[in-house]
Amino acid sequence: MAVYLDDKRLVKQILAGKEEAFDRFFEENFARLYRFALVRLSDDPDAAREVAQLVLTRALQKLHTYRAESALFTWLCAICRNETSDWLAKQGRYREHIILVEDFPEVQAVVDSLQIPEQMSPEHHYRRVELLRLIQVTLDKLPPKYGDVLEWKYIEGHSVKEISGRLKIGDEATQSLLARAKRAFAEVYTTLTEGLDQQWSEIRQS
Amino acid sequence: MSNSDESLEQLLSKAAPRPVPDDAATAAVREVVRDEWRVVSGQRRRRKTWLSLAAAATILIAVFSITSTFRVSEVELIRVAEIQRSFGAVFIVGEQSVLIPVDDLKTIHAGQTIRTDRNAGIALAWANGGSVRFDANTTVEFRGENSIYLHDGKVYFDSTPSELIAEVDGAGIGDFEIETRQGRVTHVGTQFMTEVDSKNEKLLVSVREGRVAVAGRYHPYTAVRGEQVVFSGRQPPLVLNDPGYGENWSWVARISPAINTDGKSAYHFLHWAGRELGRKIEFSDEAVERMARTDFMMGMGRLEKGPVEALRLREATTKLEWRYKEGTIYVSNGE
Repeated sequence: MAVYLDDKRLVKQILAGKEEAFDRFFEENFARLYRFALVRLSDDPDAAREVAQLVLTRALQKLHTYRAESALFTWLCAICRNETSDWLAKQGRYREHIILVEDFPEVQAVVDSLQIPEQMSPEHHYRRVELLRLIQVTLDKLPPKYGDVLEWKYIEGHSVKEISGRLKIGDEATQSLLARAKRAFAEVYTTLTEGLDQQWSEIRQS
Repeated sequence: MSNSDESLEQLLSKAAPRPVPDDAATAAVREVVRDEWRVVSGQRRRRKTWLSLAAAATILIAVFSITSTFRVSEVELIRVAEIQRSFGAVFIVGEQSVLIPVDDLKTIHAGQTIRTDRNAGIALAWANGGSVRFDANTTVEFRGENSIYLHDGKVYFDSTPSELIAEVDGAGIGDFEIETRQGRVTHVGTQFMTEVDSKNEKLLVSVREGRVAVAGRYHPYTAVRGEQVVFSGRQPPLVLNDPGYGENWSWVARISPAINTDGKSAYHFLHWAGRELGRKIEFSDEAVERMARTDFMMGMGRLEKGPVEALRLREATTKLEWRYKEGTIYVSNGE
């Protein structure tokens, strides 16, 4: 079983009261958890913020139980799922109909279905929106720095030089970081989208 | 560039930037989560410390029982301040945040946390020099000889208070820091006020004299006389004008410590009052200033009334007259 050593070390430092460790924990996870909750809470930013805050406080209370057998963010997402359900139940807003593809136990790849014709059926349109949303999900699943550089470079259109300045590293290091980030993105995205077609066809048949 | 690289970049370019929570919300959440973290890590550290202490104690007892030599080391208490004046209910914050009322507290030691009730106030003579005051509804932890942690409320600090103030070393003070959740405030020879709002979202630093260096959580800033700087989350510091007197500062004069007036000239008395009230002293001419320097006060002893009342009382025993004119106390010979 894989052990996430970096996360394990971070958790140890957080529990030991190291300020920098707490800052890193918060910086790397709050915005990602916020987005994770946002899409599950009908894009309600206040609710997402509240749930993300709850997740982080609950996580801190249980942090000593973290065994580093999954990535820390994955562990936080598991807590977030529970907190989101509880929050919706408390608000009387439990929704049975919203099912997120990334929440399926098995999702399958359709990276190539990104080349979608302009004339789209509603189903195609939905698929396109979902696939594009999965890009954001994937960026959040990557190590935070990978997600950030990809977003800055290819979504926000910053130059390598600008990104180097932001990260306070050289241009070559940035290029290398981007290359590794792209590889990681392709891997995670492919995994996430695997079987999307099959799952949709199952939904249609059910 | 490979085809897969190109298609990947095309794919990424189709996505919108990821939504982010706004800065104010992030700062607020960070503080709540940080509080929880402090509790969690503090408990764990205490537990760990206790376990270590228990283990150490077991070993020590074993050693002592073998050697039959018991020595008790002295616990060093660090005295950080003397209370000069206080009114209203004042508490020491005990274990589990229990408030223990204190009626006769005279000396404050490092490690203690003090809470003032509403309508209360305290004036302290700082052991290393300087005058420190706390307004009502203020909680302060005394961390050491040179630093305090302001949980909430208002603190006023004067690094070189008037020599008239009893039991305060007016020669000036070395380092003095006020820590808050929003940042650290360090004096650079000054009179200033630091305030943390009850929600702990804002840090306000108002400078009456000199300069104050503030290492905010996100932004540093050096505030100068006449400025009030507001730090709130990640937002850049907001700089406002502050005249150094008036409503915002009235509580400082209300807790003004007692002064020794015997043998002191009206000139010194007026400068004490001016410093306490944040107003400069202006004499109508040189003759009036000379008169003030040679008009000595006798038989009044300790004055505990604060500068406003003291000015009123003193005026009855001198030929000098004074009146407030915006940021100035204007002194004339009354003719």
